Amino acid sequence: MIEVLATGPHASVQDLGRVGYAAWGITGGGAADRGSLRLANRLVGNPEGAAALELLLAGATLRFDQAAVIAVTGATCRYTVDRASGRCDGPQQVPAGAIVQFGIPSQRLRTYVAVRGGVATEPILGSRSTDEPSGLGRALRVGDIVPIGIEVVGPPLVDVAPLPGWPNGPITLQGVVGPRDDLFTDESMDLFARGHYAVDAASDRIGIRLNGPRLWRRTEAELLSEPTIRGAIEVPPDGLPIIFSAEHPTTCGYPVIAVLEPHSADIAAQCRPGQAVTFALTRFGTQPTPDAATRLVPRPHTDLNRST
Amino acid sequence: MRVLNYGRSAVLIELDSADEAAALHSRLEAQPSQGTVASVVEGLVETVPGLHTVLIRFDPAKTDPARLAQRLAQLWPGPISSGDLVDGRVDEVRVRVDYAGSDLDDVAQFTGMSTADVIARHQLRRYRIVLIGMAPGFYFLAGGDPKLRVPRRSSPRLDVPKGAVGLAGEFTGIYPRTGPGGWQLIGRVVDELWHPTRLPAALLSPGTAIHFTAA
Repeated sequence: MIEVLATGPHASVQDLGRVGYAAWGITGGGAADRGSLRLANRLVGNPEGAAALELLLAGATLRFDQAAVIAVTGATCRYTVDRASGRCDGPQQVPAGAIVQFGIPSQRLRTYVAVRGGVATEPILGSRSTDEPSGLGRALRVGDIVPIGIEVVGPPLVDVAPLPGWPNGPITLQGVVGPRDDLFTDESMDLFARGHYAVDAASDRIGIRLNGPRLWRRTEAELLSEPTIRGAIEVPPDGLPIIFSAEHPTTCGYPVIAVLEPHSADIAAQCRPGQAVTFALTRFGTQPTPDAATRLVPRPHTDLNRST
Repeated sequence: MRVLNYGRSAVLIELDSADEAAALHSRLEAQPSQGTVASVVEGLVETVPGLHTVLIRFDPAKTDPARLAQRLAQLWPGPISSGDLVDGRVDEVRVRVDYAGSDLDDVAQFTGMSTADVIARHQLRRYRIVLIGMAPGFYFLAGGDPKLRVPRRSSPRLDVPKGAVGLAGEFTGIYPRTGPGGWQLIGRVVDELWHPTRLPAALLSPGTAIHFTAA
């Protein structure tokens, strides 16, 4: 078991989310940065979709009452196991009774802590994800006991997963244009493709709000509410785009101008307020150009090396 | 029926009416017990109904938009009329509303009516729940007065109260809990129509007819 001694600004149990309940308005939810959750699970020999802890920024403190193997991924982490510095992006032994304390990450927002065997809280509708907007589960509180499960797929195999760092400049998010790009003026599409945006402080697990060039529609006509998915970028009438994150509403009434690739949706969810972002957009079915090919390799974080 | 690409692993199917969208969605969902939707449409992960649309999430390793479009064309019988969907339900539910929403003045200004007229007019019509969506327990109701058509707010609110009654386009919506939303708020329902840990969580189901009365 893991006892929560401190939570930091937000701590929750997350997996890869709920599939199949969107028709009742229940969103997918799950880890905001799915690539990091998957990696953490692989590093400790868990199924990729096992439940783990998602910690926002610093301040969480956990006490393990049994020996465990954990992996910490996501935010550029600093943590200690009984005051000794813990290993990031690789398996870490935690002795029985040890206290694990998370410090301030130098980059990104969300840290994932997988434990070998998986977090074994009671599933709701096929998932252990905490989905606060839907009222399914709640964020962790001081004193909560988090059970550790027994489901593994193999032994931990690597010592550390080398990952690129976070760039100093703007981050490029890759996406596919549409489905409602035809509602926007040519000038707005051009601004969207070339403009620089900054992540707004009012961003959360529902959506990442952006400040920057405003995008205008050709007509004022209202759109009938349409189903949506994580990574979709909607544009309200004020012209400022919002990227839907894990707990996005299942339908939205504003047009979706583009849909991010899943690993770019992960990166967007790790952006701190003020982070500069640009978009690299393609059309569905088009082949990547040789220049773009390196950015389109479907591997997490590849584009993080390409600061401009 | 139009098929629009929605990223690399979903398509948005656009139909001519809310009834057609409901019919296509039920055709994709109503499958033999142990068979998931995947047994009828290969590679399908999840379907999500919209008002005039259905979103289909698929596994790009198993299918692609062209193959999906072909399969949907086989499943789809063609345009239908709303009469085809009448389910014989006769119950009509009276829902009490405290008409004191924070966008009431804006709605009055936009429609050129007094707030009293807006409130009176909203109670005249018989509404139908077309879907529960956007958020768990958010009711979409069709059948509103065309004179009460208003656009959404230009920027969504972050703190729409639980039970808020809002207007957007041809629809009335009821918010299940406090949270973000862009509809123009005209009031709040008195009773709790959604409670996630109650069974059933949704007090009213799609298809139900509704009359609003001032509390």
